[in-house]
Amino acid sequence: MGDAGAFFMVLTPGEAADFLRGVATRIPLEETSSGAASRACPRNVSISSKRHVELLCTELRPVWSRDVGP
Amino acid sequence: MRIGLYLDMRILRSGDAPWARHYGRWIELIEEADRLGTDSIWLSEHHFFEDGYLAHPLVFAAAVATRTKRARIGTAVMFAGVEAGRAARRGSGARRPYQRRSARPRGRCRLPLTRVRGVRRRHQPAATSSSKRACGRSASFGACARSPPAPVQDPLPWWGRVLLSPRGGADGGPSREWPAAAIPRARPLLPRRPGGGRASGLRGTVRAALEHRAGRRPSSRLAADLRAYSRTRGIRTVATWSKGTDRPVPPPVDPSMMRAGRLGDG
Repeated sequence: MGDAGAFFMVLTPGEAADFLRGVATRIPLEETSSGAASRACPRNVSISSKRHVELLCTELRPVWSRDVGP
Repeated sequence: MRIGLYLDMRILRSGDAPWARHYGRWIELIEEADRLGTDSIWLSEHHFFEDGYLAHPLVFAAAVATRTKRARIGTAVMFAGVEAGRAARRGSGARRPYQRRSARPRGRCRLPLTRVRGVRRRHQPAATSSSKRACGRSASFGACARSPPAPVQDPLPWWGRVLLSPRGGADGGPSREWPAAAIPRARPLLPRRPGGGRASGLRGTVRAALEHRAGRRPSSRLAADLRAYSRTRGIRTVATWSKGTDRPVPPPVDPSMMRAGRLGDG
């Protein structure tokens, strides 16, 4: 898991849900979007990877919707 | 709670070009994301970068809309000056390929190209959000009110970035953002400064970048703008990113870097 204080983080879906849960306690959070890539970002951790999109949509999104609501 | 994708269309490897294949691959990925249930697709606008990005998010958004069914489509910051220029060219009648009656689409909603029947002139659509509202008031145009989705942000936010420099813009200074529908209109809104501050908008930055690219002269104004941008965003971001690694913190952008062809990290 990346440094929680850093601008960029590499997270598993479960870690991402925990992180968002923490953010949602501090600010009113309605929508979050995941950045596609950055310079020197490996392809397997960028959104240009199909697997990344699958994890976001099929694992993180259901958990997040269940915890916070639609 | 919604989860979306923010896509900048950046090329990570040189092998991703040519552009048609590059953008086509993104369209396919977006289509798959829409099928899997992503809530939104966000696009950005960038210019003068060698590693791709997206120069015209509205055109790409239209392409995305033809291939997706439920995801909302939005843009990040867009260059108001560029869009205003396109609108002015359309209004001048010099090139009106999309306003010819024979070229109009035959779909249910033609709001960008036609007036809304049954609505007073002062309520006629001037922008997407107001078009939707006007559409909802019009019984004779009820089909449009059923056209999903409604705008995420209503009214649409327009922000102009104005760079302020305490010493006339030569050294780059603190950056402030002003809500301004048109960049030139921001100039009279700026407060007077004891040191004789100078305001510059995106138009000057783009012009300076074009002159620099054409090799006419190294632009100190572009250097100042980029330096101010880096201080307020770029350097901070990259410095945070390099924290805890062996990567050096990149130096501020300066004219000598530009003459060497390196404009710094975006």
